[in-house]
Amino acid sequence: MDDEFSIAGRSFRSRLLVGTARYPNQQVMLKALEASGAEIVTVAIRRIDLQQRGESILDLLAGRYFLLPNTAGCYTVREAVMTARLARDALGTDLIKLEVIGDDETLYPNTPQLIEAAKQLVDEGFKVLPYCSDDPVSCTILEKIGCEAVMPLGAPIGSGMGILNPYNIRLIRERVRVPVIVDAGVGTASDVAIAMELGCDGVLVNTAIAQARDPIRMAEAMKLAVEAGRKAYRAGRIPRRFYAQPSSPLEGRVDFGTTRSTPHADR
Amino acid sequence: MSIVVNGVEHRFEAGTIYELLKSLGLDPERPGLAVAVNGEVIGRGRWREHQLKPGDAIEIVTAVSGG
Repeated sequence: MDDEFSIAGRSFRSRLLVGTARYPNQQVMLKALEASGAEIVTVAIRRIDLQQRGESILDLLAGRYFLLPNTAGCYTVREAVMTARLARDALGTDLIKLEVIGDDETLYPNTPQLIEAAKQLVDEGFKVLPYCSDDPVSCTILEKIGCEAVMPLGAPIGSGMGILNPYNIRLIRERVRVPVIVDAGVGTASDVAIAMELGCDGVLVNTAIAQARDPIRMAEAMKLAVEAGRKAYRAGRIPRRFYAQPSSPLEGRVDFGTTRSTPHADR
Repeated sequence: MSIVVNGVEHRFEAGTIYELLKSLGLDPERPGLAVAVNGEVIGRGRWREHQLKPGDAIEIVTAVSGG
């Protein structure tokens, strides 16, 4: 395997991480996860329903996927730290996708609280993967305090707007050494390809698959987009040029006696 | 005695976390559960020894679908 992806010392073949929420039903979710080729899937931590206990998501996924718990829905350092501790005990993993939300409508991270929560969790031995803003300064701070990856948003969670600031994502990729995983905002396969072409190590997708008209087909499209984008990044794209450059040779052209003109020739 | 389980008042004979889980029909041996008492996570390894007291607020959580 010549292009392995590793987070916190664990190696994975797939660079696509997939969320488990918002699918039409569990059957579609399972088929979509399979079609995506993902090895890491995210879960949330919530109070168990004591009245009505159906099949738990753990029964469906454990053993087949690496379950990455999140702290979704946490707005303070205390909530996020508590949720991470519960997740560690429930799932037996030190990895935590740390979310500290700052605003209901944009679901943007609360960066000061996120940094504080990340510090506490790193001190407690957690391997912290923070969902963060697409800002190179916060990402370098998060790396410095010991996070194992950074997970900048491409656009607000569930918005499907794609990579709104590719320049920032590229800056982040250049300035941190830990894996960069775009989390949130992806709408379709080309968005994922763009993230990977910018040099990201992985992409986390949930709504764009779960709410697509055909989630299973979209999951496969995302898988192919991650692979295509990653290959293109490794292959090295050509520089952008303002003017055309012929691909066929200019030497040996047939001379029909006509003159070529360009807008510049008359000046 | 009266305790609060996931925000709801609950009658429970004195006992440990392990016993509470059993009385709620949960299997303490299965993975996927975590418990906090009064804001402190009590690790799985301590469920058999941690005695609950009247008025304790207990959170019992598990993994659910999430992004």
